[in-house]
Amino acid sequence: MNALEVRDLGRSFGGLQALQNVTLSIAQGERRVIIGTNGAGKTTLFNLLNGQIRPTRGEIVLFGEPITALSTPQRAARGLARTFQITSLFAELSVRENIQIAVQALDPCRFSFVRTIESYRHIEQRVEELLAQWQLEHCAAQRVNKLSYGVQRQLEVVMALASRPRVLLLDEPMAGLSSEETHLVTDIILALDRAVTVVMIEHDLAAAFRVADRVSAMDQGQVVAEGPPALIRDDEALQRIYLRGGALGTAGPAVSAGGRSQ
Amino acid sequence: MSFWLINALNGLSFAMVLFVLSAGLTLVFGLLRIINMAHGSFYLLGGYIALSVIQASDHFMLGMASACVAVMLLGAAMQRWTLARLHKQELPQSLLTLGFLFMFADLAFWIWGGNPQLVPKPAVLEGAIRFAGIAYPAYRLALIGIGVLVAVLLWALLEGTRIGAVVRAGMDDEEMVRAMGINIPLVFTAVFAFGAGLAAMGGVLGGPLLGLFPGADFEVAMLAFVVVTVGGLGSIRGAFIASLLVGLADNFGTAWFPQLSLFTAIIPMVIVLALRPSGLMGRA
Amino acid sequence: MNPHLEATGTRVRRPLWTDRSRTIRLLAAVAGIVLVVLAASTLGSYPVELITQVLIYALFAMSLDLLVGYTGLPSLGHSAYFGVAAYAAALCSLKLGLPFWCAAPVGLLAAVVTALLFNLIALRTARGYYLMITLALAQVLWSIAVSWTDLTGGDNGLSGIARPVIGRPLEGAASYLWFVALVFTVSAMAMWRIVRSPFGQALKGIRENEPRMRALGYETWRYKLVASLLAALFAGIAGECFLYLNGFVGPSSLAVALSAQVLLMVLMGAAGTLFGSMIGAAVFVVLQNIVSSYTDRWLFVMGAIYVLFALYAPAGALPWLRERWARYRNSVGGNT
Repeated sequence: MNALEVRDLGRSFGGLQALQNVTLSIAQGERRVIIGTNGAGKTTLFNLLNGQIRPTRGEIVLFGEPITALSTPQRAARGLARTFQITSLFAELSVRENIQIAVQALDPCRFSFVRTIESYRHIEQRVEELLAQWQLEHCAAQRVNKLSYGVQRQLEVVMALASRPRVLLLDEPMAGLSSEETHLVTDIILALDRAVTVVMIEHDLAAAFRVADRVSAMDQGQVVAEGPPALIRDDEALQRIYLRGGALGTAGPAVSAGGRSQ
Repeated sequence: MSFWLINALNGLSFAMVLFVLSAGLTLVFGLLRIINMAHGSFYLLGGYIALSVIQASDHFMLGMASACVAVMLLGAAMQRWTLARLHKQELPQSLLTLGFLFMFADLAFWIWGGNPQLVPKPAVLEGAIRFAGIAYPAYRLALIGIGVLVAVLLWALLEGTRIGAVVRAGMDDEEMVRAMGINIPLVFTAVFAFGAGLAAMGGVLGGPLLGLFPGADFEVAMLAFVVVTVGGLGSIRGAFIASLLVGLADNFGTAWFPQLSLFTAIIPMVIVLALRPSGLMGRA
Repeated sequence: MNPHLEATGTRVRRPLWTDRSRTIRLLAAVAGIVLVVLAASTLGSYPVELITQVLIYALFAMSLDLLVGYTGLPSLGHSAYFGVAAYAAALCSLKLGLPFWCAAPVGLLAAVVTALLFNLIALRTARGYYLMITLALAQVLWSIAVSWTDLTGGDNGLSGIARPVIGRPLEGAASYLWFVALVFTVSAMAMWRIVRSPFGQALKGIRENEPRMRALGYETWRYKLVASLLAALFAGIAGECFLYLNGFVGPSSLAVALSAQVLLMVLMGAAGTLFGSMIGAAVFVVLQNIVSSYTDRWLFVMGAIYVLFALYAPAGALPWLRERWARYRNSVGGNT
């Protein structure tokens, strides 16, 4: 059974077709990277996947269960977590509180208002564990809006991981990071348990190709190419898209005859 | 039969006062994104200023004109020197206008006292008109005509003029209008003042009907809130339809269940919010 | 009683002794209240009355802070819960002859049901509308209280409600103050529990970033609804304390002016800290008493205070003072 199955997904805003005929099959444990120029519809795809907007047509299936009609929180409860391209944290709260809120999100205790948080040992433990694992202990008490951008981006990923999702949607986790920080985040993604399926939007193609099992390329609201990184890197159509929108920085020099994958 | 006719006409004339008042509120919200809690104050001050001018000059139209101008200036000053400093900060803006509501209420009480007062009707519209077996006050009939006229004029202003086009564009996308090289702060001040002027006009028109008294500002503001919620914030057309609904609901409600006054006025709001949270004409 | 109780976030895994220190702080807070009450009761009836009022308004302001400060829901209809509880309890004892132990819970239930109805409507709309719709709904109740004279006594309200008998009748001003102090302490402790629970943490998350909360899996409207029910419960408790203080309830307990006053109390302290709301309530009541003894223009003064807060200290007075103090310290440090 595939982790995530997207069938003929489409969405239009007014007269504008933001996304059309998108079909994806993402296997359990796969690392799928979605690339494409700005405005290709990548973030729209994520917004449709986690239910922030509704599709005009098509279907989304999570581990065999259709989730197209479910709300965002319902999808999250079924193990679908995401990060945001524009950092979306609880700005006035501390790092610890941010993680705490993410950890308790799917715990039965989240609705309890009779006992204090400290009395839930398992929540506290998980928070400590995440702080240690991500080397955030030194800034645990700091307010999030006082943190450097790099740490905020990191926290963005920790929040999504906190509730142990089955499918993780990462929306440009490396955007705006230094090369050092990019390496750190890439390493962490590579080290993730293979039980977690990862779908990632990424502009940094070097990082993308390092992480990906398979790559889907989008352009103008459609998936135009899909395949293993090596093939995609040399794809002719893709070259054209990237040359039009800018340079395909890390791609090989030659436009090979490898042609379309799949 | 005459019960229905009279109450329907009462409801319609009341609805027109509501519309003139709410149009200003919804316009200001649509463009400036401000929920102006002091909108009812503009209504009350407009009514009181007109009252004083009419008592001194015996001229209804002069009272109306001076009330509108005075309140527009007041609104412009308030927007220019205080509200503009809180651009896009929703809660502080609401609190600020709430503060002005109290200050104006106390000021009005100080100047005009606590006794309910009626604005005199224009002399031509004294008396009643007989038709369909009833005698009906001429002033209320005139109100219905004036309300429709204001609606048409507002519509023409928004749809047919350049300034209207700018306002409509600003409601959609402020940045775009700014990029077009239009002086946004000036447009904001002008629209806020215009909205205040409409509220004052509502006060003058409603003054002979509903009277002016401390607390009238809260009462009409609350009804205007209900109207713009039902109509959809920012929509003039919605405000017109909603005014009719709320005006009629309030009138028949008060006729049937006097103890539950106001309660029936919010029934349209409850129903609309249950079915369409963004209001009848609101953008979803 | 102690601002440190509010300082979540800075908590690292605490050694055992802090549990004891928390108990000590709690005891200190309770002792503080007892001292204040004792001191007041030796001073004569005016201070006793004033302190009773401060405690009631502090409770009321803290209940509103659950919504405004913690959940980010600015309500301008909070007097509805205060007034409904008072009216319902008064009607129970006057019309049905129920004793205090029945009338008081019925009043609280009425407040909570009112909150349920209000918020099923108000929470359907975008956040910016909340202020406006809560105001409109509360205004309807006020209007009913004024016009349904058979039931509510109209402008005259309902009077002749006897104070509860606990062991002995609480007729004296001082003995009633003890009762209110007890109710206040228990309620405040309950509210502190709530804001420090996982639920309270979720409320703060909703205040900061609701879309993210939904993406994390929180059905946010449920939290907002329950928060408003809890806020209504404590507002109702305050309303009933007020009812038994005066033996009377009138439309002013349902008025917008009261909602606006309590909102100002929250702002005069610090929205989002229960302690701050308590301070705000105290400052407000004292200020109102002083200003009213010099001029009749209290409404104008209150409006002006609103304007000043909106322009200069929208997060409340305490954060504003803290920032000034930090700036002053920096400038002094820079000079030496």
